Amino acid sequence: MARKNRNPVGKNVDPEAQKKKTRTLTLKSSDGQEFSISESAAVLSIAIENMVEDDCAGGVIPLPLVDGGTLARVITYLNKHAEDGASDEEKRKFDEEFVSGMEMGVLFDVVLAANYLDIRGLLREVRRRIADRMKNKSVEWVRKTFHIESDFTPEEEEQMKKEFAWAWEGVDSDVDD
Amino acid sequence: MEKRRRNRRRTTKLCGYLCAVCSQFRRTPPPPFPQLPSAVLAETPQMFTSPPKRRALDPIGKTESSIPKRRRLSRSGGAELGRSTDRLAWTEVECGSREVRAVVLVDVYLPIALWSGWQFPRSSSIAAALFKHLSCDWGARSLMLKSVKSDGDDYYSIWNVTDCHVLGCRRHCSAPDNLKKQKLFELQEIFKSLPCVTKKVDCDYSRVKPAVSSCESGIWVLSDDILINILTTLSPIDLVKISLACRHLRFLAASIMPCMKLKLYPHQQAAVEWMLQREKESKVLKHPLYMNFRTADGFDFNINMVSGEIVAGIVPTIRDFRGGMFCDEPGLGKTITAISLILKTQGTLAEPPDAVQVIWCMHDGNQRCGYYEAHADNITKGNVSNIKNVHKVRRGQLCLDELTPKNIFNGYESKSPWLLGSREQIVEPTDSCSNKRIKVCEPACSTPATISTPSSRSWSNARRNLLAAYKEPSFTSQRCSENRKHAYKGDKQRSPGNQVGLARRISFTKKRDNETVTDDLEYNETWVQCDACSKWRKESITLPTRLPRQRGPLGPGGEHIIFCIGVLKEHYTLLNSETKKALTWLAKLSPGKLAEMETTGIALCEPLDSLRLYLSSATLIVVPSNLVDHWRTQIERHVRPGQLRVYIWGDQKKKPSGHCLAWDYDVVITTFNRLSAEWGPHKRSVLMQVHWLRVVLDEGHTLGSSLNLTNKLQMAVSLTATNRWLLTGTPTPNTPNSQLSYLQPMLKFLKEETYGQHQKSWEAGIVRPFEAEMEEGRSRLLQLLHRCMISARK
Repeated sequence: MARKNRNPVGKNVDPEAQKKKTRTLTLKSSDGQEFSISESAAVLSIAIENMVEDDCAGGVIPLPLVDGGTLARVITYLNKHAEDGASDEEKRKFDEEFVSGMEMGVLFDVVLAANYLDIRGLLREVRRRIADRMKNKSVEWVRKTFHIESDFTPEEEEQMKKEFAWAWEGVDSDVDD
Repeated sequence: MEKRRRNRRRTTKLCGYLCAVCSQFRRTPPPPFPQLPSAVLAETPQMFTSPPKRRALDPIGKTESSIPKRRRLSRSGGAELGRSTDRLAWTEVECGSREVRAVVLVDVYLPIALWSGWQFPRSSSIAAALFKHLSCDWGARSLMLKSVKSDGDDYYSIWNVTDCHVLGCRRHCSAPDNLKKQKLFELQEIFKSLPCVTKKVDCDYSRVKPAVSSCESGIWVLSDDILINILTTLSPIDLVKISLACRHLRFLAASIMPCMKLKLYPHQQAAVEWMLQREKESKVLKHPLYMNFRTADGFDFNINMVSGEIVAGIVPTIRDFRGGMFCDEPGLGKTITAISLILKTQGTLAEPPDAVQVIWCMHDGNQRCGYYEAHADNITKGNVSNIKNVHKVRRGQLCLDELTPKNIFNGYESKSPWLLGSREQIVEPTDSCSNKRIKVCEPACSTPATISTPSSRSWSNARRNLLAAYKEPSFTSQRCSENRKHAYKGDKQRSPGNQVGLARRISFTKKRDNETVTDDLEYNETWVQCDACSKWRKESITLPTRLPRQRGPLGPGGEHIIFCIGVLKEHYTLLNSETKKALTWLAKLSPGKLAEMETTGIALCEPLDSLRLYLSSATLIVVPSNLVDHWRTQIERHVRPGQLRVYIWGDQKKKPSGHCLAWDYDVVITTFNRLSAEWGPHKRSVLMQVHWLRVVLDEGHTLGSSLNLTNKLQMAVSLTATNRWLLTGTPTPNTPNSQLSYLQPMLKFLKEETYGQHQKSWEAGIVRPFEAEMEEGRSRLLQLLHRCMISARK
């Protein structure tokens, strides 16, 4: 099938791809907001692509697990990556800026949405960003930032603090960056 | 008679009993047992006679010739040794035969002096052989005395006693079938019977627990596979930290091999977990050779089953060694498992022994490194590890508080106020023989020792300063007192052996660009230890040409010069014209020449009796020469590039320096040939200058290939390491005989406390009983192997 072999970046200008660029889809978030997006951008999400191929994308595609704010962000990302003439370098730079400004909570939402919509590039990017936030921080900082309640017993906690004292002595400063 | 008994009761205690079986063939049917004269019975217990097979159950009458062990015991022990009394418990007659078997209850008494250190005077190992048959089940004994009866079990067992003739003895092989028995004592079969470690499934903490205060989103919203993907990208150190946050993250992190490009098989993962467990703080175990007894009135004591040594009260313990034998069958990816283990613990520092004080310094600008001095006797005997390690695992960064022995400053705080508040690190230079040393706290110097260092540390500058210091010491001290921070921390006196009469030790600390350099030199006008190369030099103040010459771990040699300037100034009055000439010559040398001297040095070393050990976070892997490339490619192929710093020291290459090996690499690979070559009676190998985090011997069975004390083995044993591992697919050669002895060198390398360090315990406790196919040897071997060996099978 020609459609399957199409280049998602859209560099080859074949009529099929051209057609996609003009066709728009409407995505509906969990809180009822609707977004329109060109098909060529939308199909960067494997999940949406499958829906399009199965022809269930007739009118509006409901995305019950993604809220409006997150969906808007995801669409920004998709549009950039489907853009004609955007070089890889540009996209990389965009990715960096795209995730760097996000709050931790937003990152979680986006990673969930990317996982749900199956957008590989975005998923990788956000995952890396979350991992970066974990780097070189003390245990307390990690707990605070990721809202983790320690479920160790006080004795275990004591033992760990003794054994891994260095993990508590802030390596980077614990100031949120 | 009655009085004697009471007397005995006062000085001895009933410590155990056993039921011995005696037999007699009679022409006539036996009389019922109460009519048996007790005088005969008193002579009966003829068990424990040694080569048991030849001597079947002896008739009572004949036993006089073979000395019963009990009698031997009392003979050897003299009057004060434990006595025993016999009582007939019951008899059995086998239907259709004329054999009578009688069960005799033998009570064994030991003197009360046992609780004040009494030991078996002689033949203690024979005594031990008797005591291992004793029982302390006093309830069962009183039952036996009350009701003289035999139920089915007893009936069976009385006719099936083992060679020792003790009723219900389980110390000998119980399998009567010869074939089956042989299998039980086949070493390969035993290896096979070891359970594979399987991954424990923890389903208790299936979620990350949200903190109460937070509301809508936290890391718990992410599903496990997303979390795992996130954690996989982390570095080893970060991964450990994350795993400390909560149980669920710990559980997830456990299965992740950081920076490893491939996914491990379940048996490999389980092996890594098991190995990590073995590397954690070592457990204290009950000594496997001691058996616990309890007197009738409830006092405990322990007897060593091999040596017969008695320990009353406390239970003797051993400290489990860290490491073990990793014996997966060939082809199951031992290399990968070992690399994963290295990655999991990357950055962990080896634990210094308790008795030593670690000196911390900066290496390569930002890496904090430590070393300590160990007494040479310890090293040569290879028993550094005997100093018990009860330390916590250190890893990566350390907190300052921990590093700084606070009490050092007590005498100096007022004199050197600039020390306070600065983040400067002052550590006490000392070593394991510090107990020999008298600490004398003097006000460091009457004149504040302030010396100039140029910030740009070029040689020409250093040269100029040297001159300046020597010509105009007062000027330099004035000039620099405001911005240079120096201190002579303290003088100490020691006399290490006879070689040095009175040595003074000065530690010299200065602050430069937020980094601390501790210079540590020892001198008494005759000896100086260079911090860089740890060599001792006969050094005379009046010969300042002999500066420490080697580029050291502390950065370019500037510190040495500074130190020497200090010395020069202090002893300015001693300088004669000769010296001044020499100094002038030195000052005029071209920088190139100086640099050359610095690197090549002028050999002037004579070892003193202490050895510096560099604490390392590196793993030393010793492999057969043909496997070096295998390890290299495995690391290159499967580990994220740049993650592990690998050094390969092949058979021919030039000798690296100790601190480089210790501090610059994560993995050092060398060969067995190199290992053998590094051993020499007076040689102090570089490999021995490092306290490794871990030593891994690949194909470790080659240690046992010769039963003699090879260079290889001696070298392997004298390596200092926190964790010791053997990797081998074939622990012992698959030959029918005497395979067991091949294990001993390996245990020696592993520093197993009971059997590895004591040849005698190994032979008497395991080898001999095992080869005589006795159950006790087998069970001890099994217990040992279960503790320290895993072996996955295809």
